[in-house]
Amino acid sequence: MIRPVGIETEYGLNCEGFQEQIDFGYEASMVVRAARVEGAFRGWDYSREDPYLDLRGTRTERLERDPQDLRDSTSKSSKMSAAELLANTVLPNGARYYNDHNHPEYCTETCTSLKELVAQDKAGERLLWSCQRARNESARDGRVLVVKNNTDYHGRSYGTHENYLVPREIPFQRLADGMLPFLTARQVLVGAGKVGCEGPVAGEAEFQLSQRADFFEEKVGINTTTRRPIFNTRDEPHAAKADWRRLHVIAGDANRSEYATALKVGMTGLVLDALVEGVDFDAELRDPVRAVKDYSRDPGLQATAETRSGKDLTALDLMEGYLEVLEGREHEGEERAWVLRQWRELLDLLRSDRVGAGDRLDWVAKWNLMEELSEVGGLGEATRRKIDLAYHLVDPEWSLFDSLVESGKIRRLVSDAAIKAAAGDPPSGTRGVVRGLILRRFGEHVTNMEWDSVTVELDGRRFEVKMEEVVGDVIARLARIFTEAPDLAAAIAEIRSGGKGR
Amino acid sequence: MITKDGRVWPGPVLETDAPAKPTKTPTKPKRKEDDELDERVKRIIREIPNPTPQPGGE
Repeated sequence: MIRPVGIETEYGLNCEGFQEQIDFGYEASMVVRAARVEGAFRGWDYSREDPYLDLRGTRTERLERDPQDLRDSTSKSSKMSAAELLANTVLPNGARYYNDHNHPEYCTETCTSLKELVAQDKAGERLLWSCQRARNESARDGRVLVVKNNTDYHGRSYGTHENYLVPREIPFQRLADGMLPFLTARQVLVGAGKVGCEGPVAGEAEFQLSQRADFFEEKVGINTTTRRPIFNTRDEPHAAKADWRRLHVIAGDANRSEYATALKVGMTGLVLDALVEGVDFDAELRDPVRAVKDYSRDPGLQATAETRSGKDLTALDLMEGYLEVLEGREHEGEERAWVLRQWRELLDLLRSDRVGAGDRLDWVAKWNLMEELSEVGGLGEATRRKIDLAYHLVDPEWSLFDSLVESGKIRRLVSDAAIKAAAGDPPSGTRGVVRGLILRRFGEHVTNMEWDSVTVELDGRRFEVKMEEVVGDVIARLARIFTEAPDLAAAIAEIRSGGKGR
Repeated sequence: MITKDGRVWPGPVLETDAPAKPTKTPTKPKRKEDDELDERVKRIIREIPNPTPQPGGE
């Protein structure tokens, strides 16, 4: 069992052949609403969400938006109701699927197993592929290709966020100081790779380690759509607030490689485990905002950044430092041991035989492919960008990532059967199981859902099933009740008898 | 290759230390899967559109 974590991915929409100005809000909504998933619930309860709360103990008055983004909607979406436009959908596997800022977003349920998380994330890719097909078969205008990446290559970025549950008792500064150098350097292992350079801070690079590095302008902050920080301070735990923070990591790429996804959240979870227990990694960088770009823009991996203690470290050096500290500690569970082995093996490969890391790391796989193609004729920048885009397409017919997998050049971590199962089954032992059970058995009674509650209506009265823990005894009890109770009335009565509903 | 900012790309680690790539090793014949991959990649590059502008997100 690993630290509870979920992944939220905003998918890109590469649009062509439209007769009119593209309304991305409308298109994102149409893609989401193309989902045909039996037993899904349409809706979402926003009443308790508050993205203005800051981990530093404050509440910001406003979140900044890129003014360019606000001009992207046209009359089509402005005529839609909020419910139509947002297209909120809760899936039987516990995932949330909706239109977020004009992109289809798939949020996995929180998982406590790396393999389950990868399977849930991959189930999202396959759902998006089916939605792309359905949208293109039915729409009168244009063709949409769904892309699991983080940039349009024209200066705009959209996110792939990881959400880790960490105890509220950990001091904010320890969390920020420990995570900043790690989040700056981890792209050397789990960046998705990108052709070219863009974004608000000028620079040049033919190829980068990360899709996202160009877009980070601050060390620490609460904004996400502009002036993006490496360490984001949004404080919405979607769990018992007194006990938990949700570390909302926005400094990460959309990985296609199953290994890279598992390694990304596995490494980050191990660093958080250590920080929770008071470990000091002593790796603070003088200028992480500059370092994140310098590291990304040097695929030769020689770029250095200066630490507060005056050392010049490459991204590999920093990741080695974190790993050495973690290797000296005891860890529970096979998955944690797997992460440490992969971390060590891939760091060593990147130092000695980088090409060999392309069977697991996205940026290396993409870079290898471009190198091989360059050997049979130079590649222009436009072609290199197309290759980059095609790597991330979710349609296996057009995806270069899927082509590499099929030809045996990229390893798999989970089976097709596990991914198919994850499309319908929530991750084991989590509150997604409770949500899924309620949807399957009593779906017609559900009036509202959000991460930590489900509201049902019976005989004109509403009852809220609270799930402020992600896993554990309370969740196990609710899962048992919703499995065994002969009907909803009996389930509610039993919950009330234990005082866990209201 | 020298990048516009004067850096050697790919870096020296690859050029001096890394063993030759399998595709360059004469003793290892190209697999049927490699040929199929080459054809597939060429088709995809030929037929997919260029990246198009999109709104930013999160």
